[in-house]
Amino acid sequence: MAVAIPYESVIGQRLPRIEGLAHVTGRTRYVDDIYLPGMLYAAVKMAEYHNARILNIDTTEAEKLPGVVAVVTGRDIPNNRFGFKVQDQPVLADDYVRHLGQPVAAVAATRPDIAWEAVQRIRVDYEPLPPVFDALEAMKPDAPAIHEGGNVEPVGPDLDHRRIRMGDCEAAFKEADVIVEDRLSKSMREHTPMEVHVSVAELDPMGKVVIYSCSQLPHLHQLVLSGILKLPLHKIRLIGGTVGGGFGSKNDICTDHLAAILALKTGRPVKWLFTREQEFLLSTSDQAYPLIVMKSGVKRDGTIIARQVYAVQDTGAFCVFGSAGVDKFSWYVRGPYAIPNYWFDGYCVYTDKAASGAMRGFNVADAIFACEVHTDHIAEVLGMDPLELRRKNLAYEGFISTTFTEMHDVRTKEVLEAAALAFGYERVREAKRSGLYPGVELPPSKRRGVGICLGYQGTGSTGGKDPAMAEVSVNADGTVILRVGSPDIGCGQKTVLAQICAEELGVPLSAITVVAGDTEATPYSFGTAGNRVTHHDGNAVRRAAAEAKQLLCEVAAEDLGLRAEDLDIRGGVVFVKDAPTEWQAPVAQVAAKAILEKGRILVGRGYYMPEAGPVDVEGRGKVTEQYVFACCMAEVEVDLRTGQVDVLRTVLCHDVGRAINPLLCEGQMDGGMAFGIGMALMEDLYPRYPSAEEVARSLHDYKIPTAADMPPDHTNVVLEFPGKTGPWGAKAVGEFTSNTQAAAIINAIHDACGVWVFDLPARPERVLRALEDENKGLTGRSEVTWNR
Amino acid sequence: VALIHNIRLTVNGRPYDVTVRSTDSLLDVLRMQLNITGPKRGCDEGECGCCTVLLDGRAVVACLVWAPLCDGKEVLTVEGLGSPENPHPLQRAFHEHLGTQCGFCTPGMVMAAKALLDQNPTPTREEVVEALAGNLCRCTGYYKIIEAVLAAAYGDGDPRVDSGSRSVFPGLNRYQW
Repeated sequence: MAVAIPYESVIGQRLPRIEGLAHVTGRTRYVDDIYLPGMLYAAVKMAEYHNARILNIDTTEAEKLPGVVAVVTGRDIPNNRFGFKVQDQPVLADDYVRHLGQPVAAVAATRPDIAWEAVQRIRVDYEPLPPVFDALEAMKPDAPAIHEGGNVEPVGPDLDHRRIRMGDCEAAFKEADVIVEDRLSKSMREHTPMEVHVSVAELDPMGKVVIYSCSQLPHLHQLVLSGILKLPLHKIRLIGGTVGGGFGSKNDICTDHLAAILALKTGRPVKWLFTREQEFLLSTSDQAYPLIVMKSGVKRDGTIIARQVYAVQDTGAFCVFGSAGVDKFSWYVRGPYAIPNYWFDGYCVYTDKAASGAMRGFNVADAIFACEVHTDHIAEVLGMDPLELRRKNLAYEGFISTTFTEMHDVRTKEVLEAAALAFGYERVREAKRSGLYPGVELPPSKRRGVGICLGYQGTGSTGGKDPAMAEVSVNADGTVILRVGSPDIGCGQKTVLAQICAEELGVPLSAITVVAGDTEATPYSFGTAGNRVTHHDGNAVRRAAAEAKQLLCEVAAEDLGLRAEDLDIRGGVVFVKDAPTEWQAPVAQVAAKAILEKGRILVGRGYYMPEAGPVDVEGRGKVTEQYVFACCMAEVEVDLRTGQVDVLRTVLCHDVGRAINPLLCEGQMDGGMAFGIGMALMEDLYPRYPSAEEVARSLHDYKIPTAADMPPDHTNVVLEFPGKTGPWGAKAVGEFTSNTQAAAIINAIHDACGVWVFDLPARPERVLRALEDENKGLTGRSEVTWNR
Repeated sequence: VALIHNIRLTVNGRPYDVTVRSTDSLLDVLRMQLNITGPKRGCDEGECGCCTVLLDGRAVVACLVWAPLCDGKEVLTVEGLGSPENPHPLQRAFHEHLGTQCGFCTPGMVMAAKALLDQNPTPTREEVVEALAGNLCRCTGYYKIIEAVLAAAYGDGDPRVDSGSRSVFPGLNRYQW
C-alpha cells in the first residue's frame, strides 16, 4: 500500500560533496596542516648512486649540529625489511642502495632547514656498482642480481612467470588468413597527487604510536607497520581519511614508517613532508612495460581467432605489488573480445629504479593500450573500419574470461554503440568516405583523425582477498555516525557511502557524519583502491545500516506490541507499515528511548567479502564479481612539423551500473580524461627510458595536463545497467575512467597521419620519429604475415 | 646564517607583527607562524599553484614570495574569502558545481579565479582556462572548475556557463537516447 511519509530517494541524486564547503574555504585539515607543540621535522639522506654497496655511514657531524634531536640509520629500525608480497624493501638502506635517492639515514630536528643542513653533514661511503636499468637485460641469467634469487620476481611458488594457455594458438595461427604482430612499450609514470607524501607521528602517554597519515589503505598499512616497528596492532593507530589525492601513490608506505621511528626515538611529535623532488625520486611510480609483443591470428572477414602475448614488466628495485600487476595485465590484454585461443607469458623484472607500486589503471591501462592499438593495426591490415572490426569480435554474455570463468553483465556492445552515437562516428566515417573530412580548412602541416578504444576491468582488488566492513551508530538524538575503513581520497567516497547509509536507514543525509580511515575508530577495510569502495564498502555500509534500522524498529515495536518487521523508517520517521498515519515517531525519539531508558545498543554492523580471489598456477579462478566496461573516442590534430598532438574532441562512455551520485560520476569521468591524456601524450618519469640516468625531479620536468590541455569539447556518456552484486546495482566509476584514453588517442594519431606510435607517451619527438620512419619504411616493430 | 627581519603584514584583514628569517617564504610564514594553512605546499617551487594567495590584490604563489618583502603588504587567503557558514559566491560555486574533489588544489584555484574575476568579471571560457593554466589539479580534469568560475561570473543557468564538458544519462538499462 502507498506510504504517506513524504520521501525522496537520495540514490541517483546530484549532490555536492558532504565536506565540500570545508574544501572550498580552506578549512579541511590535511596531514601537513597539523602542527603539534614541540614537533620535530624529519629529512633523509638520499643515495647518490643507482646501485652501490654501502661501506660506511658517518653521522657524527650531523649529530653535533644544534637543533638536531635524533639521527637514525638502518640499524635503528626494529625490522628493516617490509613489503606486501615479499619483504624486500628496507626502510633505510643498510647494505646496498638499489635506486637513486633511496633513503640511507634520517634526521629529526627542531626546524626543517636544520634537518636539511644535518643531512648534508652525513657522510656515506659507497662502492659503486654497475646499475641495471633495462628489464630485458636484467632478465638475462648473467645479469647482476638486484635481489637474491635473480631479477625475475616469481609469480607464485615454483612459477617464475604468469603463463596462460587457453585453446591452441599454434594451431589457430595456421588456420588464420593473416597474422599481425606488434611490439609496443609504455613508460613509467608518477602518480603526482597534489599533496605529496606526509606523516605526523607522535606517542600517546602510554607509548602508543599515533600516526596522522595520508594512506589510502590505513588498515593494511597498520599491519605492515606492525611488522616494521615490531609492535602489536593496538600500539599503532593511523588517523587518516582525508587525502589530498591518491591515484595509488598512497597505497605504499613512504613516510609513515620513518616518522613513527623518529617519534619513538625522540619521544616528540615528528613531521615528515616529502619535497616534490622526493615524490618523484623515492615514492613508488607505476610499472613500465618495456616490451609487449602482441600477435593475433585473424580471418579475412575480421574474426580474431587467436592471440598470443609476451610481456615484460619493469617493477623497479623492490617488489611492492610486483607480479600482481602482471596478472592483471594478463587478464585484460586479450581485450573485450571473443577470442577463443589465448596464450600469455608475462614476467615481472627488477631494475635499479625507484620501486613501482599500483597506479590508477594498475597494469590494466597498459593492457588496454596494447590491445587496442594492436586491434586498430589489424583493422588497417584488413582494410576494415576499426568500429566494424570491434563489432565483429565483441565478447558476449557468458563468454569465458581470461581466467577461465564465465563473464556476466557484459556490456561491450552497449558502451561501444553509445560512444559511437555520442561521438557521431557514422557521420565522421561518411564524411571520410566522401572526402569531406574534417570539414574545416586546415593548414598543410596539420592533419586530423579519430580513434576508438574499448576496454574493461574488474571491480575490486582483483585476484586478492578484499574485505570491507562498516559500522552505523545511531545517537540518542537520531543523528548517525557512519564508520568505514576506506579513506576519501577525493573521489567522494564519504558522500556516496553516506548516501547509501541514509537511504538504507531511512534518515536524511544531513543526519549522518562519516568517520573514515582511522584504524582505532573504524572497522577493517582493504582501503581505497582498485575501483572498489562504492561496490565493496557500499555493500558493507548498506548491511550495517539495515542492521541499525532493524534495531530501531525492534525497540519501537516492543512498545506497540508489534514485530520489527511491521515497522519501517523513512525520512527520519519510524512508522507502522500498514498504517503509517496511525503511529509515527521520529528516529530521535525512538533512539533516545532505546539508549537512555532501555540501555540498548544501536550499532549496526556490516561486512562484505566478494566471492573472488587469486588464480591458480594455470591462471584459473574467479578474480572479480563483475566487470565494468568503457569506451573512449577521440579526435586529434597532429602538427606534422612539430609532432605536437592536440586533443580536440572526446567521448567517454562508461557503464557505472547505477549512478548513486551522477554529479560525482561526472567528476570521476572528467578527471579520468585528464589522467588518460597525460598517459597518452605527456607523462614519462624517465624520459630516456629504460635508462634512469635522466629522471624527472619537478613538475617542470614531468608534465601533467593543465586546464589548457583538456579537449574543448568533451562528452561523458553514463550508462546504467544495474549489476547483480553492488548496492542498487552500482558497479564502479573511479579508477577505470582513465584507462581507455591512451589507445583512442594513439589510434586517432594513426588515423590522422598514417603512422603508428607504439611507445607511450606519444611525445612530439616520438610522433616526429614515427613520421620519419614512415618515409623510410617500417622499423621492424610490426610483422604482417599472410597465410593465404 | 639567516638574517632576521621584523615585518608587519595584514592577512585576511588582520594585522600581524612577525619575525621572519631571510630564508622564509610567505608560505612558511602563513603556515608555520600564523597557522593559516589554507594555502597548501604542493611543490614549494612555484609549479603547482596550490599556495596561490592574493598579495595586494594580485595572485601570487606564496612559496616563491620572499617573506621580508611582504612588509606592509596585504594578503588574502582562501580562509579570508569566506567561511563554511558564509562562503563567497565563488566558493559556493566551486562547492555546488563539484569544482573540488580531493580539495588540495582548491585553495589555490579559488584564489586564482578570484584574481581573474576581480580583473575581468565577464571572462570567456578561454580566458578562464588561461587564468587557471598555472594551477595544477590531478582529480577533476578541470571542467567542473571552469564551470564553477563561469557560474560565479554569470549565474547558474546562463548559456555562457559552458565548461566544454557535457554528460548524457540515457537512463536505466538504456544506451540510446
